[in-house]
Amino acid sequence: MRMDCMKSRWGAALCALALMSPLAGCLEAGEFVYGEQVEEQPLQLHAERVGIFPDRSVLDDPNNPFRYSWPTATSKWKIESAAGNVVAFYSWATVLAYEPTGEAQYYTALNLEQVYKNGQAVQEDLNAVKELAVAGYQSVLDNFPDAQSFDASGTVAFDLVTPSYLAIVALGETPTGDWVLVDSASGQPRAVRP
Amino acid sequence: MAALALLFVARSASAEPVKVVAGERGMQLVVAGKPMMVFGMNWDYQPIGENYSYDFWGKPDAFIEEALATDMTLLKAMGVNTIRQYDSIPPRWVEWIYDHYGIYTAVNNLMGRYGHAIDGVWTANIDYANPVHRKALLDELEASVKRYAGRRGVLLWMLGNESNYGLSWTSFEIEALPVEGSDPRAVHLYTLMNEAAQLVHRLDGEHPVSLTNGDIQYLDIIKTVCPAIDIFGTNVYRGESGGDIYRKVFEATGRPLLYTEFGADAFDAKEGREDDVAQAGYLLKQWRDIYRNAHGNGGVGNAIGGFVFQWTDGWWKTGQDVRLELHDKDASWPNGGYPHDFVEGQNNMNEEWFGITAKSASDSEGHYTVRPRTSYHVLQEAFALDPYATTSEAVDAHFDAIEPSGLSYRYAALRAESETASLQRLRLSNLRMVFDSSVSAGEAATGRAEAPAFGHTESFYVDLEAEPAKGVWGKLSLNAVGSVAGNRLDELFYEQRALAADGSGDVTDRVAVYGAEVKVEAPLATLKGYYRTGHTHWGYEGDFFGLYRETFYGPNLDTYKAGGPLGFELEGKGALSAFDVALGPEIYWGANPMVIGKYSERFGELGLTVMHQEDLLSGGSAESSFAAPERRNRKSAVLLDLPVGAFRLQLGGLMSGTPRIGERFTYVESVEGRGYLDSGYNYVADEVQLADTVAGRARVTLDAGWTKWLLQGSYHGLVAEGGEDRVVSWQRWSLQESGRGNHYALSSGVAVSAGSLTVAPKALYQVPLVGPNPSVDALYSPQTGIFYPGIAPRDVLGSPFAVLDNRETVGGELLLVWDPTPASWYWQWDRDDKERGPLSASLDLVYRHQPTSRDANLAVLENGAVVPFGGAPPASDSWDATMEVFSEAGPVRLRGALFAGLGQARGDSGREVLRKGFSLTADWNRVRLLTRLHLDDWGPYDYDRDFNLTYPVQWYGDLSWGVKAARLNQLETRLGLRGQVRVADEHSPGWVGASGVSSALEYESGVYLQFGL
Repeated sequence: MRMDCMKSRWGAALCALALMSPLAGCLEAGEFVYGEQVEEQPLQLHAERVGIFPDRSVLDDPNNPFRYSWPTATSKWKIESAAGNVVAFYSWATVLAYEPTGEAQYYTALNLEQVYKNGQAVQEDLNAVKELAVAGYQSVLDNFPDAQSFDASGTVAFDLVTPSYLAIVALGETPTGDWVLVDSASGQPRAVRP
Repeated sequence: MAALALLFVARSASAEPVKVVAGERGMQLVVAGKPMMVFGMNWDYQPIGENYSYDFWGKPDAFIEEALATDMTLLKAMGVNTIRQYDSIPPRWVEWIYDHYGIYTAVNNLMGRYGHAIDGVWTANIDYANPVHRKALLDELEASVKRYAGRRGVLLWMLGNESNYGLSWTSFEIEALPVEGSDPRAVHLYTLMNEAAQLVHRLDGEHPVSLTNGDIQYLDIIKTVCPAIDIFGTNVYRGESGGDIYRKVFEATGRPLLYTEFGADAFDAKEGREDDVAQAGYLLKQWRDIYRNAHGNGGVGNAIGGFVFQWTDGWWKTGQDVRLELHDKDASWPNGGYPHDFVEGQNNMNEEWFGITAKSASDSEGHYTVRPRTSYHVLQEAFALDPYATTSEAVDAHFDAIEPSGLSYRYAALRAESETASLQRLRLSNLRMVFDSSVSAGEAATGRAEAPAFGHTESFYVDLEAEPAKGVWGKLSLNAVGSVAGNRLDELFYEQRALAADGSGDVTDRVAVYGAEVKVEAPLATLKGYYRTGHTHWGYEGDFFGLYRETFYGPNLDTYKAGGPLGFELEGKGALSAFDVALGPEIYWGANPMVIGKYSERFGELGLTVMHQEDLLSGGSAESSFAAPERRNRKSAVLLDLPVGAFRLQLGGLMSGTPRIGERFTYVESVEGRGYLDSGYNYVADEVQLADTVAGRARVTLDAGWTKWLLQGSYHGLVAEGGEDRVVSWQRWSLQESGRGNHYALSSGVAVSAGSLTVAPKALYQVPLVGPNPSVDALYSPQTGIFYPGIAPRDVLGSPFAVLDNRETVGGELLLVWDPTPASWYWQWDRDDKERGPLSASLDLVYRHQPTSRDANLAVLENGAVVPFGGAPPASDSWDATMEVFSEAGPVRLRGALFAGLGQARGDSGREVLRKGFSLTADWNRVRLLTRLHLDDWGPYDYDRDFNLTYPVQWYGDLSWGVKAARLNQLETRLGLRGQVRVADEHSPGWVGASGVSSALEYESGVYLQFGL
């Protein structure tokens, strides 16, 4: 019984009634929550589709420093820019689990790609990390075809399907779902689905 | 036998005085100087699909005359000379029947057998010792006798209906006949009957008075305290003979014996088939018995006839308010007097099959025809013998010459015309075809095309029912789709389930299973299976914490294309009657695969119920936030239930949420100073413990007639979650305590009735043990690499508990009900059809003071993903005001509602919505007008309320004509026009906006044709 949470005498009276139960014996108080150092560790994959929408298993991963609290608007960019790729992966995968957007999916895949390229996973998981990166980019195409993100100024938008498409190709795979690359008016390639 | 004596003499001038005359050779009923045996019939007119509430005598005269022409002609041809009617038959129709067909009426006042209005308050169980109750019943009898005074065609008065059985039965349905008891209340019952008989004699000196007893129970008491009764009338179901009943009645009372009900059903419960020949055999022997014991025929001599039960089958008897369209084959009580289908330990009396005629479906006017069974023809031949101009030998010879099997060909031919033997096992029913066409358009800012868009929908429904073996019944409901409109303003509807998942608009899944039911009767249990079909909760059967939920979701199941509920119920019978089990993949919408077991038994006055629920997996469906998925759980509950006089005490305990033990959760504590991340709070992490899984609830109710009172107190540990409380304690209060864990609450309500007005205030005080979490952003320091977790509102998927409807609430409600027809309960589920009278209404005012916020709700996205909202709206009070009105005046029926309220969305939007509107349904014969107007209200779907999507104006209108008057839950053929107009703004779904445009219009109009068979 959290007597410190009770606000009224009526509540206390009812609490007393419940306290007569032999089950209401030794209740331990909680612990204060503080900030914790987040350190870069080799990535160990917790589940087969971790970080790929709609999978939310990253919230059960004991290695995920953000599993109890997802990084919000400002902190996720700070983590992206200042923390390592593994930490950034966990950050974006957690954001994706709570607020599934194309942006979260893209940056989850991006950091998986970087983890793979930099060998920041345990050896036996490296290939799986690559496949997950491809799956993450594909998820942007499949689930968030209109996704956009913004540059550092926050005013210039860019679509996320084109870099996702290109990333899949760069990883040696072929995007699925009838996506094709065409030249836009500015001469830049653009991924579209006829 | 006694010397010649007049037991009853006419006292006033009347066309036909009726008296009981006793002489050396026996007793007779003498009408206008002539002896007359009562060849009587329990007659009623209740079409299939109707029940005891059907108001036949309220129909237009032409309708009544046509119905009487069919039945009375057949009755007269059979030789029936009297029908039994409750005193709801208008006296003018008693005269009309007598004048046109020569058939008398025995008028029966129920004397409160099924309840009575006492000081304007409906009282279901009469206390015969209570002077107030006695006076009310006698006053009503006096008024009734005065209404029929001097009317032609009245034969005699009858009082009650098995009122002695009502002293021990627990409901108004027929139960096993009680053994001779010594209920002290019987003395009060029969002294009342004696007073009633004296009153009738005082007001009406022309007609004798009969009891309508249940067999000869309490004969000794009747003998002593009921001397004013002229005739011992009794309902008897002893099989082919009354045995010693004539002698016992004569020796105890010296009165003639009149069977007020007797007969046999036409269904063989053992073989599971109709058996009209067996029925005829019993009736033939029963009438032989009467003839042998009539005046001068060598028996006791006090038999003066009887009223056969009954003219035609009562399709409503089983359940009384449900399955009225089904000719139920369940036997509901046992009786060894009918040995041809009696099996020890099993029921064999089929209440819905007592008719000596079978009933057809109604035509478009509401009339039906009857098919006389073999009993009709057998009795027609039997009645041809004058019972008072014969000898005992002649009686035997006459009855010996009548062979039921020889007369059965007539009914067999009629039955073959209506249905072949093979179709009894498989039949199509409830065929419904819907053709709907519409055009819609909208101004550009709504996001809708400005050019009119046309759409068509064709949808077909049909039920396949089968009875492959005795006691096995199944129904499969199918839906087939032709076209599916793509232009509807209300964009979610059932037929969309047929569209391709790729969004192309192609119809790919044309045929689907719409629903299914199965029922298997076994000696020790009944198995019921259901798919997308509603079932009731167990709240009235000991489920104090609402574990087994009701599944009548109305149109929502179709709107969101739900795949459930899906499951089974096992109801114990006989030795296992205390046990019930429910199990299945989704026994209520959104449920996990689970099994729930219940043991419920009474030990004297004390009731004990024990329940356990075990979720087998996680995995409820996620079609709508109305039925959000749940985490896997385990619940155990116990209830002690004790009536103490007018009080009822209920004490319950619950253990729930034990799978959450050890799970982490967080909460905040206010502090002076900056606190964690300058939030003003300390941020604490804790774990669920065993004590958090415990709940207790105590409820006291008082039923003092015109005043009823409810007091309830509850404590629920953090994760001790029950379910919704769906029990309606006299009034349907809106203010209800949450069924979730993490709260304690105190609530009390009182209902005070004065005549037709009931005033019912209620108060609720509810507080969570652990309050909601605020929103505080997380913080990451690139310099130090330290991450400070943010604080976020909890949700039920990510946390072991959340503060939602268990938020802190101080609520008050004032409910006013005006109901001048107490016999039909205002809150009955089908009151749209049942509520009668010129005006019934209710006004419900609710205010909720909610000083704190809540945690985050869940939303179901278009792709089926279930996600929590990122936050919750701030603390806000809410209120609702709703007025409902029902009116029936002549051919016009009105149902209307006005509402207004202030509330919050279920999501995280802080914008409050002040909504108002009205709805009206008006029926005039076959024409129905339906209209509703909502102002500043949420759209019709779950995501509108979730994401706070509103429209400034929503109007809907529907004008239709049907081949019959519209009825609730009944198939109809109707042709209709419908129209819909909405004004959208920036808060509306689909809004795209336009420069300088703050609101825009969209509309739809259509025509529809629905065939129902």
